[in-house]
Amino acid sequence: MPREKDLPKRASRDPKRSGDDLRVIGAARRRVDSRGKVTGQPIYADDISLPRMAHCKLLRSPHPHARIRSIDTSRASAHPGVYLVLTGKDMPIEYGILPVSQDETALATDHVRHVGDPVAAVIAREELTAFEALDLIDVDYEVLATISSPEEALATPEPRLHTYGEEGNIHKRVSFEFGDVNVGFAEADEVFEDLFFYQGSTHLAMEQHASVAAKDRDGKLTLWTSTQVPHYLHRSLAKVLGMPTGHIRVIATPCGGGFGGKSDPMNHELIVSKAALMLDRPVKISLTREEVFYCHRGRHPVLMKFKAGVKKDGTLTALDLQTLVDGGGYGSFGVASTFYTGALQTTAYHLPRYKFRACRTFTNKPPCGPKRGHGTPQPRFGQEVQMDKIAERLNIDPAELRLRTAVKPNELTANFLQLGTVGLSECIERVVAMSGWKDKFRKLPEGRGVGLACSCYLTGAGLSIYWNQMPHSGILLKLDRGGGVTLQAGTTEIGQGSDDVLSAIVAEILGINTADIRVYSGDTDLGPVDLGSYSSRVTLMAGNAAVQAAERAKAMLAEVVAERLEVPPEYLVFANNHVFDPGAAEKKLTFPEAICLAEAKFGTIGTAGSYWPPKMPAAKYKGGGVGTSPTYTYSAAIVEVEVDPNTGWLRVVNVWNTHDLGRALNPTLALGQVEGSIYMGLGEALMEEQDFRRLPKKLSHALVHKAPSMLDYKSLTSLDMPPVYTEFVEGPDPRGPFGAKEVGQGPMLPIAPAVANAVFDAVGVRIDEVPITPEKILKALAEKKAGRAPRFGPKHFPQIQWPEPLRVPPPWEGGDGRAINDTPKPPKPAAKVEKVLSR
Amino acid sequence: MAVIRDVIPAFELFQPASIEDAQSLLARYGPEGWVLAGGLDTFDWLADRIKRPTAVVDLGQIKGLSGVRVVDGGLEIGAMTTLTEVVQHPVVREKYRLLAEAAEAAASPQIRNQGTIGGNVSQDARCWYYRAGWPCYRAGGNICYADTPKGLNREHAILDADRCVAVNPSDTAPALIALDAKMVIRTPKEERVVDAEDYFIGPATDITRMTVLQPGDLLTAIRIPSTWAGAQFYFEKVRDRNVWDFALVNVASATKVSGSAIGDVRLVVNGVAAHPVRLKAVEAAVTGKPRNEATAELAGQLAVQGAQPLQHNGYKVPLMTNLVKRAIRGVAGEAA
Repeated sequence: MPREKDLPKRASRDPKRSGDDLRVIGAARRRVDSRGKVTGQPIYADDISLPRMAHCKLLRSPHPHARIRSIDTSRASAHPGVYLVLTGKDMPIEYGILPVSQDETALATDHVRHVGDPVAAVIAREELTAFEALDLIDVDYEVLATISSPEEALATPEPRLHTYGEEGNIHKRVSFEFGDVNVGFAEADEVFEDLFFYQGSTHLAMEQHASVAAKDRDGKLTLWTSTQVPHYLHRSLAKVLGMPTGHIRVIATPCGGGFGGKSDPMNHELIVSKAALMLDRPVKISLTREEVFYCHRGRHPVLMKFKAGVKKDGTLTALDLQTLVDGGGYGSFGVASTFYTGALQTTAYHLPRYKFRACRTFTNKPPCGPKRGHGTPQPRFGQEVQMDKIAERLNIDPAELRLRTAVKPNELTANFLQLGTVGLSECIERVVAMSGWKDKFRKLPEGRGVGLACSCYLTGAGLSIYWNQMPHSGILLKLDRGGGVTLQAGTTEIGQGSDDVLSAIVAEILGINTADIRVYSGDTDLGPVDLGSYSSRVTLMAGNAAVQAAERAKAMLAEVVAERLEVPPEYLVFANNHVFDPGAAEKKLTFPEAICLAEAKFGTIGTAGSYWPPKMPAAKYKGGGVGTSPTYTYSAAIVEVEVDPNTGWLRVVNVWNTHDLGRALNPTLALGQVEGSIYMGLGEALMEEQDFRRLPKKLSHALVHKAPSMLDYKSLTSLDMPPVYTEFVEGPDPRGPFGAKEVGQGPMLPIAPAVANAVFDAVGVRIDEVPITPEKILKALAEKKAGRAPRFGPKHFPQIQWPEPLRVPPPWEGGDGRAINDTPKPPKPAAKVEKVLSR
Repeated sequence: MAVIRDVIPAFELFQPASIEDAQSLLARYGPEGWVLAGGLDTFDWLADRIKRPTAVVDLGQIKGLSGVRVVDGGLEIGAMTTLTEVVQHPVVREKYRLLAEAAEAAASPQIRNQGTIGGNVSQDARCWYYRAGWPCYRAGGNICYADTPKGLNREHAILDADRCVAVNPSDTAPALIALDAKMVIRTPKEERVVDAEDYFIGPATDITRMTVLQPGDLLTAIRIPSTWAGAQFYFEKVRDRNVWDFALVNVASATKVSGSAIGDVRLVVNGVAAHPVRLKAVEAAVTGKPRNEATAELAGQLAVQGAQPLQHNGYKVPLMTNLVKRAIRGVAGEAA
């Protein structure tokens, strides 16, 4: 068991809260799947081997941008051992994770958009044969001009990467104004204008993508695959293969990490499915590390311009934010990511007026998508570094500035996001106390510094990816006469511990041990729909569905036990595998006895639970759905660094952080999520770069991906992790199961800006971009020495033709959540929403 | 550029039992042959399908190429000795600690268990354009991709570049030069011994090679004379992360002190040029000087004279200055 002393201190924000009667929830436990995992027993997709199984390899484009004039597969098809060669014409139906961006085909039909874009697939008896046959495919490419950056995309409308989107190579522009920011700037004592750049990075999950597809005896399809979103994949398979979903079963295999990189339906998943159906043989593909870099869907590089108005006391009067988003070759989640580069700027600090404009462009690079924090780490970096600059100029302690401006619980923000519990102030106070901030900030010797940053994140996206009125999560429970409980969930266990959390919730309510619960998750045949493991949604949404299913089962048991023991059902307690009346020791039944009684009365005991996010009446303007969430979490982090002023060498010495997570359902897991987030945040802050360079014009001008390997793409090792000190701020949120909010993404967000702010405290220079490297620090120090602005960062934000913003007056200006300059849409049919469950 | 890698193409594997057999195989296959020592550099090239030899000659079965022996008061280290064996050898640790520290700084424990000292000193240049198979000067083309306005070159050379700006990243190489080691080379005709300092060559000498080894030549052993046994040593390696990473800059020095003055010193830096750089001018300037801050300052300034940083590696200049200063002081740890 984890040792108590290793676990974070936990501060309750509500001293009166009860909950100490909980036995499973809140206890530091081994996760339910730990035994198998530590003994190497999970069968990952790459471990699967089926009789007669064939192997698939993909031919990928060597060009960043080209038209395919022709593909000749005859030599490859004739190669001994090759069963099948597929090209784009074999599966031309377009798909994509978002309904508005159905812009991918499993194999390129006539256009490749980045190095690594798949062009053909070879399925052969042996993997090596398939690989060799790739060389026998003749592709005639017409190389096109490439677009390496959003600036180039804006300046280069032709050739277009896609025929949809706004115009030229602009994929999506959004433009909002919540209150007149010019009024805010006029009221301000100081106006700050800052440019920031956040470099792209990739997920670097340990497990490379792998899939096996097989045709069942009855002609149906089963796909085992490493995915975070079996349900969305299920839908894409149905679309591309032209089969009903009822004939397709997706099984999410144990997952060696996702972090957002397995949240899209992937081309290789569709290809092996098609091949298995055509060949009537199992077909497997295991991507190499290099191919995973080409699949990407990682962090969007974002250029940002923040203009903030502030009063002398630190009160924010307005923020005008523009972001320019480098999307790569396809849509992926990009439209959502684009909204997220500004949706949560209002949820940490009270902003009376807010203007937000964002533009995503296509570029000839692997597509960007969701990576931990999805679209929000970039503007969070800008906002938190700008807050530090504001504090510096106004001579207010950065912690104090944030405390003064922190949002209030249940606030309705300028952009009509409905907040829930807010532990931001407690997070700041506690991290300041635990780190000794007051003795360190601006007091450490030259070369040492501390920096503070905060963040806010969603607990599950409020809207599904496709419009529908059905629940976001469902749970089925079956109670066995012997006392065993089977839990069937559509959730995807990607290592975050969702199986454990769901078991704990059911065990707590039914008064049993998690060992008596068997979880079947990630299987579209066995479990009801869950939208997937993304947006930090599973604990809250599937957790609430589990609460409902367990409460329904409990009610059935309580009814029969109450009859038998002749006590009112509300007297009964479910604990220690018994159902009993605590007031009368002899009045008790074992849990299996209770089930038998219930089954005798009601028949088979099975219950279902569902979860819908609360209806979101607040944001009624178009685009207002992005950023909505049942509730939000808050984090604060202080990073201490050491910077050598001669060499710019940067070392992170300590990290302190606090996270408002409502309630830690299993503190061991929650701590793992926090530390993993900090690890990932430090990687992005210090070294990770999905970097590309254009070759000189006299050479092909091609766009080059820096060697896609784990040696050249640097991330931290265990030896590079500084000590991390964590405290949980707990104040149960009524919207979460047992009060829980998210913990998987939020703690990452403050890390990069805290490092930047600490570098300023250490040596007095601003690094307004990540990664923060010695050469950038050195260049900023040289600027400082030369008497120029002591910073390194972007110097220019391009002119963008913004559409007229949707004007939405904020709540305090009498706004009702609608835009005053939008053409009204016909009202949507009223949702058949059940009462949202709350405990 | 191949687009899917990680699958090593088929080749014929030979495991000769003698140096003579190895060399006759290499003669037979000529440019189609490939010498395999620990395999760390080799398998990268093969898996990336940039180098596609038809015959691989594994030196692992040749007796006598591995192990550390005490010879003439000094040491002879077989070229196939693993870095772990070098690190753990008691005499290396006692008398030539510089080499133990350098070898222990290389790569990761797993790689040191497999990687050899001969391979470590003979490894090919580090430049991700070159390693990705781009047809650069070093690969026989007529361009350097790293030294262009938009090139990525933060890992690259600040000294002695000639068309190619790649670096030698070996950690043991500067330590061996500081210890005045001798490289024992078996050519098809004879055995010859060259100073470690002369073993490494720059692009001006031959842009396609990193060492004096000609095709068919084998490095068989490294001899460390007793000259510097027990001297005062300093080794430091700066890298982006603390394990499994090449040096951005490293420094190795051996110093003999007479009284409070520096009596005799050898000072070598790597990661800054295509070959390890012995700083003879610095050595001459500090000899006879007290081991103090003024001497360190002098050494640091002198060390980087002539440095020509590229767009993204200017930080290597102060880094090298600092490492040289620390080596002269003989103590690590001070921020400045």
